Amino acid sequence: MTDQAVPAAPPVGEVTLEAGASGFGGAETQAAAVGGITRQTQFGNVRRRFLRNKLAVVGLVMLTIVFVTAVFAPIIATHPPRAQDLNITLQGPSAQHWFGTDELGRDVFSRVVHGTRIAVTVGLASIFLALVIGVVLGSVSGYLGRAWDALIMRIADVFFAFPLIIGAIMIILVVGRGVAPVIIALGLFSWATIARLLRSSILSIRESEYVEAARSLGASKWRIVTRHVLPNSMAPVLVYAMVSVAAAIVAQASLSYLGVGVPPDVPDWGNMISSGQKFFGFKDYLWFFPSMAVVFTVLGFVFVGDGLRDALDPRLR
Amino acid sequence: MTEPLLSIEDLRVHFHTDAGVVKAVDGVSWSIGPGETLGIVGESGSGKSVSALAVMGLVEVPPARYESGRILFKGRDLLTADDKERRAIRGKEISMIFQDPLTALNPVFRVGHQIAEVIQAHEKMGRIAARAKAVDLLGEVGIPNPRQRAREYPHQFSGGMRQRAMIAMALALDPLVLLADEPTTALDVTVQAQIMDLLIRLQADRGTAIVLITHDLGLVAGHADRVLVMYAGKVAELGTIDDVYYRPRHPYTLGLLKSLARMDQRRSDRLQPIVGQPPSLIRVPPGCPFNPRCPFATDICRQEMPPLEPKDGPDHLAACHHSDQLALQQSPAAS
Amino acid sequence: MTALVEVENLVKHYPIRSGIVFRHDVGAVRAVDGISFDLEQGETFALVGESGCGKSTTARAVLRLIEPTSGSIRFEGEDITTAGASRLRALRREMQMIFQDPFASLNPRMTVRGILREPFTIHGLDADGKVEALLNMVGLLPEHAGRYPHEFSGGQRQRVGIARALALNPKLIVCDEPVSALDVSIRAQVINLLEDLQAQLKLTYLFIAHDLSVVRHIADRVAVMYLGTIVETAPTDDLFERPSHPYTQALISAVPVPDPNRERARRRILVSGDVPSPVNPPSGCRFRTRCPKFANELTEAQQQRCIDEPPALVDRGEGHPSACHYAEARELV
Ligand SMILES: Nc1ncnc2c1ncn2[C@@H]1O[C@H](COP(=O)(O)OP(=O)(O)OP(=O)(O)O)[C@@H](O)[C@H]1O
Ligand SMILES: Nc1ncnc2c1ncn2[C@@H]1O[C@H](COP(=O)(O)OP(=O)(O)O)[C@@H](O)[C@H]1O
Ligand code: SF4
Ligand code: SF4
Ligand SMILES: [Mg+2]
Ligand SMILES: [Mg+2]
Repeated sequence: MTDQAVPAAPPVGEVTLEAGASGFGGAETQAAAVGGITRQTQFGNVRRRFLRNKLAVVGLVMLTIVFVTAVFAPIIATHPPRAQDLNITLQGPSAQHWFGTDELGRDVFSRVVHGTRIAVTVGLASIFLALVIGVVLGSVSGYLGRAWDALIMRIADVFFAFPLIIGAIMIILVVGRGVAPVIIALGLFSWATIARLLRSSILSIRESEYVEAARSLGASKWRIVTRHVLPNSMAPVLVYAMVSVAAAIVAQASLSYLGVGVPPDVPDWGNMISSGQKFFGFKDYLWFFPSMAVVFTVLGFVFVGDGLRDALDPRLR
Repeated sequence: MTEPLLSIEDLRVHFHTDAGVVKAVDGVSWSIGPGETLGIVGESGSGKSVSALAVMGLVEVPPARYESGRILFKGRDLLTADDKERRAIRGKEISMIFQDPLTALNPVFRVGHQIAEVIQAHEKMGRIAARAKAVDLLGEVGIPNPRQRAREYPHQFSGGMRQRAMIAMALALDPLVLLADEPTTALDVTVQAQIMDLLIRLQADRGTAIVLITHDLGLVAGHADRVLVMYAGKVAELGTIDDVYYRPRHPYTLGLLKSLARMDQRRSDRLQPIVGQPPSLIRVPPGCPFNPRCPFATDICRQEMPPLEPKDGPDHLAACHHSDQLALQQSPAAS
Repeated sequence: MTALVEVENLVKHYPIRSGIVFRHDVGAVRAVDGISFDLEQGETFALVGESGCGKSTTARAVLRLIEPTSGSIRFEGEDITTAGASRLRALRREMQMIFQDPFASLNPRMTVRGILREPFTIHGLDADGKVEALLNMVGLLPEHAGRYPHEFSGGQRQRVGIARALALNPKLIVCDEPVSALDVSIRAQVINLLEDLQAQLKLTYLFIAHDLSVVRHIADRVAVMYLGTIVETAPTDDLFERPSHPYTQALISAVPVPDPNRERARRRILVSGDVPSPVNPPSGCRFRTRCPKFANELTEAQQQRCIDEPPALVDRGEGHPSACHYAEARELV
């Protein structure tokens, strides 16, 4: 286009024609009036559709509460979470100890509040790890195809076939207990679905006409993947990841409950439920409050994930 | 025109959506007599399908709302009739075929079974007799080996055969009116010619009235008796095909005819498009909806919606303030 | 006039694979099966035919968006089927494509500016001021640059797609059904735009369509395809006024024209049945299973020839090449 004369297409906006022109052969044939199309940004659309969904908004509020609690745990907690006071063991909820105390006299409320930190950290970090692995392997699999695809998908099948908890336990048995091993274990056993999702969405987008257009312009593979394929195939993956955080939190609590998660003295919901169940039937507040915390957090992620899925689906405009 | 069999009077179907009220059908009237073919043309989104779906009761309420109008079949209003009466008419006396037969055929049932079910839903007939009739119908619409084909599933049929099967299903109960919504748009021209040939033959045998919805002005020219031109949910022009093609009285009709490339003529210099683009049905321009694109538009066009009035003769209607100016124009259809 | 593109014996077979562990070919979709044609500088050459006959496959092979199974494609005399990656990249500037679906051919997450800058970025060129010039060229406004594709109508999107194809100042543009998805009243606007651009920029078009009316208007020469082969080719008016292959005749007679009197007077040549599968095309003449001439006019001995011998695409005295043993021109419009 360097120094070509630009043809005399009339600049047009809203087209109005003089009345009484003798037919339709006006010079304005190239006119493309932009009538009735309002300016909407992609993001604005998504936000509008998200906020319209009541459950999604409820989920958002729940998650906000969870995150605020996690960040300001030391301020919100009424007692230090590890402080034992053997004089006041196993007391029911009171003005002093809102959720009561456990068998070592620790304040249950404060432990639930601090448990939020562990849950959120492990949930987000493990799924972040899974995303990194899943996106890299899924893109390679979907875009390069052939032998890569076959190899990666068989590996994914193996990881997919293992129940999350069993896989995680195997890893932890090898590397030992702790927050980091739990994160790594959960991440390693969550990437397979992400990679598969991404792969299938890449496979369909790879065939789309705009990718073909980019190829016909001479775009490199790297450019096609980063500019065209990934931005358009990430939506379902991110939604899935959101919901996976919930699954990771449940798994994290289960690992603690089974005694293979974070060390027992760490204030963690799984640990609390596990030790609280000994008093099942008479000191129910011990396992009830941490369980509610798990349910609350998990529902928050699920509601938001669901809302995002609907909001990102352009067919539901 | 004989006594109308089916007529729509001042029908308004509006969709209440987040973005606003979509006036999909906004004051449309037409009628069709026995054995007649009425073409409905107009561009995408002009309300052709919604008006047909309304007749079938297939418009979902809400989001849709019937703001006004009557749908009269043999003088009975389908919008106020009770459920039983409606069910007896829709599907039996009036049936419909669609652009995409896959949406109308259930993928998990055999084709013959589906046709037999339609028959049994409306007529007292044993299963075996209904199956036999389904096979006969498939044969009648030109499907080879109907016996064997009746036992196949829709995905085993080609596009043209699916359309034939849907026609067989629609005609199973010998309806008086067949609404055909773009029955050939998804098909290749040679298959389109086969399907239209089939429809004409069936119509001649049974005297079915056909409402042919399409955006192909050629298809209507060859197959309809009268044609209704829709624009932005409203009727622009209605008349016999000769009147509308050779003596168009609405600038939109004239514009459409002028803008077409013609296969039967040597290349003219340039095509003469209609400028601009169709309005969003949420924000239809005030006055005549066509005024921003109309070369004849004057102030009155921007203020007052022109009424649909007889021009030339009682059966040729157009909604335009200045249709007399068009009488001076040579129609591009006449060659 | 010199040939800009010469296609010779182009073949594209898509293998049909079977088996999960040991994948093996069990057959092939013979999408394009040995076609040859030339594109002259500055002309519009149309490929027509029913869906699945191989038009798009041909188009993509010419641009080397897919690798042909065999045959040669020469662009300005150079065989591009053997061009390496860097040569191919340079060739991309010379040939571009306009797609059928204006909704699928623009990346929904890029603004029009992003879409129109991309060709320059890819080739390391300066894009300053180019976006506005391109928009102006296709009849859009500079302020449209900041919008996303979904904010445009179908016709406007198609203009954006055209602008993108023009960006690198190509010599050849392949148009794959560029107006099929557009509304009647918008179609003429886009056809005029394509014609104006061709006149101004001396473009050569390979124009693919199934709508014969548009082809008659825009094309200089036409080739009719059936099941992966060209069955007839001729200058446009010649083809429409004296079609000599029974398939071309059926095709032309099937297209309705918007003129009631003419429609009433017309005679339709109906072909029977559906297009056979391109996996197992019929022996001899591929059209014989549906050919009305074969069924109604030929003697048994003549029919046998249609079954045994694939007819060559040659002029049999009708003024242009036709792949029918019994080619005979007819007047249909
Ligand atoms: N369920 C719905 N909700 C909201 N709007 C709708 C709905 N169904 C149809 N519409 C709108 O009603 C208008 C008329 O639609 P209709 O399907 O009748 O158009 P048409 O003339 O048949 O077009 P086409 O040629 O594309 O089939 C369009 O603007 C469409 O978007
Ligand atoms: N990627 C592919 N894999 C297998 N078969 C294909 C592929 N692309 C096209 N085909 C087949 O090749 C034939 C020709 O296709 P195409 O060139 O797209 O036809 P047209 O553009 O004429 O409609 C069709 O039978 C189609 O199904
Ligand atoms: S009423 Fe006016 S604007 Fe409408 S079609 Fe007639 S002349 Fe044009
Ligand atoms: S060669 Fe025979 S079968 Fe083929 S088109 Fe000609 S007459 Fe028909
Ligand atoms: Mg419709
Ligand atoms: Mg194609």
